[in-house]
Amino acid sequence: MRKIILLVSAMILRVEVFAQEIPVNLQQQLEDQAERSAERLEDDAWLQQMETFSRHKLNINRADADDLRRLGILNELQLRSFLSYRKLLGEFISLYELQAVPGWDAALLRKLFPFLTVTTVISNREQLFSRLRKGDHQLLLRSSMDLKRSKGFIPDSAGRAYSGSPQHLFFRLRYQYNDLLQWGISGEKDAGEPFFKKSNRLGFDHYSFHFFLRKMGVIRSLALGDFTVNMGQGLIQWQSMAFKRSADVMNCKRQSEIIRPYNSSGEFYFNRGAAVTLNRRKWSLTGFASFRKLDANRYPDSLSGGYFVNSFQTSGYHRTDTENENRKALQQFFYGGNLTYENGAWRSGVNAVAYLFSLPFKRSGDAYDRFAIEGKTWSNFSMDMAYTWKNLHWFAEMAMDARLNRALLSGCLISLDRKADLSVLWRNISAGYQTINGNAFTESGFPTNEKGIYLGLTFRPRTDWRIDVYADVYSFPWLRYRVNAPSYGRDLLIQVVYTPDKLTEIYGRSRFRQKQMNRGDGNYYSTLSVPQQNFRLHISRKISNDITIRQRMEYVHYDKKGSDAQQGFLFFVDLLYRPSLKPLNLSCRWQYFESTGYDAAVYAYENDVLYSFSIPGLSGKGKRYYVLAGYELDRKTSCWFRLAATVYEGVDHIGDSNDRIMGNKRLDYHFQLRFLF
Amino acid sequence: MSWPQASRLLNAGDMGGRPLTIITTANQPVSLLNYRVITAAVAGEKKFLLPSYGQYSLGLAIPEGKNCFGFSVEYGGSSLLSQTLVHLAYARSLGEKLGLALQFNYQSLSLPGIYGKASAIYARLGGAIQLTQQLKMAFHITDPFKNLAVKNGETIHSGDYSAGFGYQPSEKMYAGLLVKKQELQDPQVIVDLLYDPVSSLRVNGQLDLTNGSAGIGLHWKQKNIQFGLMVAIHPQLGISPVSILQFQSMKNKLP
Repeated sequence: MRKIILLVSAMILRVEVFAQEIPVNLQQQLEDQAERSAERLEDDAWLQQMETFSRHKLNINRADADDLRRLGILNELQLRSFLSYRKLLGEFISLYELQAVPGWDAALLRKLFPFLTVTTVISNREQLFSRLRKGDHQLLLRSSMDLKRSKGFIPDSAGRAYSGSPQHLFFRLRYQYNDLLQWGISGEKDAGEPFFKKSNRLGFDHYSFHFFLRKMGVIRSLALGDFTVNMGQGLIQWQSMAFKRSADVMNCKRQSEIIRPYNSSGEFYFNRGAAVTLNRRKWSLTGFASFRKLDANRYPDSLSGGYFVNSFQTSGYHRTDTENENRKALQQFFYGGNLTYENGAWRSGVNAVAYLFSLPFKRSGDAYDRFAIEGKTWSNFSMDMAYTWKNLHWFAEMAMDARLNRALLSGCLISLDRKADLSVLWRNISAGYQTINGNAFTESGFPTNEKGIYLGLTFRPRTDWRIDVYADVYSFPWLRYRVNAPSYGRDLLIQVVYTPDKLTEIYGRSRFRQKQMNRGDGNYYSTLSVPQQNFRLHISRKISNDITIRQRMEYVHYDKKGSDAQQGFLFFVDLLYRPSLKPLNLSCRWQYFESTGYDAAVYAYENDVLYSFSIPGLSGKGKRYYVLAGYELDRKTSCWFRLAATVYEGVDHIGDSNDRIMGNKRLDYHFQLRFLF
Repeated sequence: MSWPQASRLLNAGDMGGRPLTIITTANQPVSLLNYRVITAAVAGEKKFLLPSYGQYSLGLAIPEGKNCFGFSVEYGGSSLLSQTLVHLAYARSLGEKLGLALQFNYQSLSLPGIYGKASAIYARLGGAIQLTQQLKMAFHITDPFKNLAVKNGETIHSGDYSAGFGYQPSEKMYAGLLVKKQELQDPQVIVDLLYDPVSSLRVNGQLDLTNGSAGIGLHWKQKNIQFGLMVAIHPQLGISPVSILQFQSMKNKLP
C-alpha cells in the first residue's frame, strides 16, 4: 500500500514539474513588465530555479535566508518572520505548521507548498566529487517559427534578405545537483540568423557556458563562464529578472544573491568571466571580473579619426548586414566587488562596479541626453543596508557614479496588523546619475533623473478577501526622451481578490496612470498630461480535478488630449486540462482583442512550452487562439507543442519594416523536447 | 449592422441563473439551463413610445434532462425600418459547476429605399460557471472561431462579448452585474436586482452605469402563468414600456 502511495505521489510530482504553472501574481508582474518595455523577456533563470525547487524541494528545516530568497515568493518580512519562528520553536514537523508563522496566510502557503518539504535532508557539506557525480542531466531542444514569412526573408530589389532560415533554434544541456552545483552549455539562433554558414560557421549565433557552485566550505557561490551580478536595490547593478510596480504591492524590495548562474537565450544582460562569494561567519566578500564583446551602435569620429558608440544593441539579432556590422563592436571589461556584513536582523554592504570599454561613449546633441555617459570608463559605488525590527523591515541604498552624481533609495515593509501590510519606498536620483546595468524600483527603465514616493497597502479583511492598493507619485527633474520639459506622473492601482475556496480565484482591478509627454501639435516646448485607465475582471475556476477555466475581460482607455483617444479591449477564455495521473496536459485560449492604437494595446500572459511564456502586445482588432500540449513520453522524455494564431480584421498586412507579413493572419509554432538522464 | 438598443431590461438575471423570462435567453443562451419545464413567453415593447418603433418577441424553452433547447423570434420596427431576429439555441449542463450553450442566429435588417435589406448568420457560445453556492458567472462570445457574418470581405454583424456575475444570497433576492462589449463600441456595465416580496410577486430593477438608463418592473405569477410590466427610462431618448406574458407547462417555482 505504501508503495502505491509513493508511486502516486511521484506521478503527481512528475506531472507538476512537467506542466509548469506560474503563480497568478507573477503572471501579472510579467504582464506589467511586458507593457513597460517592448524588449523580449529572455531570462528564464527564474523559471529554471522554480522548476529546480519543484523537483528538489527546499527543506524548511535546513533552508537559509538566501535559499528562501531564491524562491522569489517571500518578502523580507515574511522571510524574517519564518527564520525567527524556526529559531524560537525549533524544527518543523509538518508543512502545515507553517500556517502558524506570523504573516503567513493560506494564499502564501498555496504558492509555497509545491516547492517546500520537511522530509528530505540535504547536507551542504557534500564533496565536490559527489556533487559532480550524483546530479541530473537535462537536454532541452526547442524550435519555433512564424509560419508566414515576413518581409525580411524575401529578397528586395537589391537581392538583400535575412541571411538565415526562419526557425528560431535553442538548445541547452544542463547538469544540476540539487541547488548546490550546476553547469551547462546552451546555444541559440534567432529567426533570420544563419546556421553553420556565413557569419555563424560554428553553428549557433550565441553560445553560453556556465559552471556554478554553492555552499562549499567558505565558498558561498562560485561562477565560471556566464553569470549575472545583482547588488543592493539595483541602483548600480541588477541583471536578473526584477519587477517594478505591480499588483503584488509589497514586492518593492529587490532581493537576490549577488552572483547568479546564467544560461538563458538572451544575448546581452549577463557577464562572462569569473565571480566568487566567500563567506566567513557574518562577513561575505564578493569579487567578479568579466570580459565581453558587445553589440553597439558604432559611428566614425571625425575629430579623432576613430570610432565612438552612443548606445548598446540589446536585441541580439544578427540577421542583416547592418546588424552584423555592429556585432561585437565594443569590448567591455567589467569588474567589481561587494563586502557584506550580516548579523541577524542587520545587513549592510558596500558595492562597487567598474567598466572599461574599447571605444568611447559619446552623447548625442539632444538636450535630454545631456547627462549621458561619456568616455571609455565608468564606475558606480554604493552602500546598501537593511534592518528588521519587530514587524518593520527597512532597506536602503545610497549610490554614486563616476561623476559623483548621487542616488538614494529607501523603503520600509511594515506588517501593520495580522490583516494589513504596508510598503513605502522613496527615491531621489539626480538627473546626472547614470549606470550601465542599473535596474531599481523606479518608473524609468534605468535609475536616473527621478524623484518619487511609492505607497502600497495589502488589506485582508477576511481570509477569502484581499485588497491591494498602491500609489506612486514621481517627477523627472530633467528632460526625457520625447518629453522636452521637466515632468511628473502618478500611478494608482486597486485590486480586489476574492478566493472563496482553493479552486476559485476572482479579481477585479482598476489602474490609473498619468504621465506627461510632448504635445503632438508641433509645439515641442510644452507638455501635456496623458492619462491611461485600465479595468480588468479575471476569474479562474477549477471545475474538476483535471479542468480549469479562466476568463478575463479588460478595458484600456488612453487619452492624449488634443489628439485622438485610444481604447483597448480584451476578452479571453482559457481551458486547462491537467489530469493528475496522465502524461498529458493541454491548454488552449480563445481571445478577442480590439485596440484603436498602440498606446492602448492589450497584454495577456500566455502559457508556453516549459521554461517559456508569451505576452504579445496586441493592437488592432481580431482574434487570437493558441493550443499548447505537453506529453510525457516516458519518465525521462517529454515534449511540448504550441500552435498560436492571430487573425486581424480589416488589414492587408501585419507589422512594419522587415517584420511585415502580408495578409491578416499570423501563425507560429513552438516545439520542445526535454531529455532527463 | 446593429439594431439600436433602448432598454436592457430583458437581460435581467441572466448571469446568476435566474432569468426573468424566457425572452431573455435571446442574448444569453446559457441561461436556458435554468429551465426545468417547458416554458413559452411573448413580449411587446414600445421603444420610447414611438408609434413606429415597437418590438415583439416570442420565446420557447424545451428542457430534456441535462439539455435544453431554445427558440426565439424577435421583430421590431415598421415598414420604414425593421429588424427580424431568429435564435436557435442548445444548452447542456456538464456537471454541477459548468454549463455550455451554443446558439445560431439569423438577423435581417430592412431599410427600404435607402439601405435595402441585409441579413447575417452568426453563432454565439456561452458558458456558465458555478463559483460558489451563491455566486455564478457566465460569459458569451460571438463567432468564436470564424466571423460567419461576412459578405464580400465586409463584416455585416458586429459581435458582442459579455461576462458577468450573479449573486443570490437567498431564495428571494438576486443581484447581478453584467459587462458587455459590442465590437467598436464602448463597454457597458449593467447592474440589476430581483426581489420577491411574496411568492406571487417579483420586482426587478436595472441600471446601465454607462449611459444612465434605468428600468423597473413588476411581475405577478398566478399558477403557471406569469405576467410582467416593465418601464425603461433612457436619459435622452425617454420611456419604453414592456409587457411580458409567460407560460410554464406545469406548476413550478419561478426559475
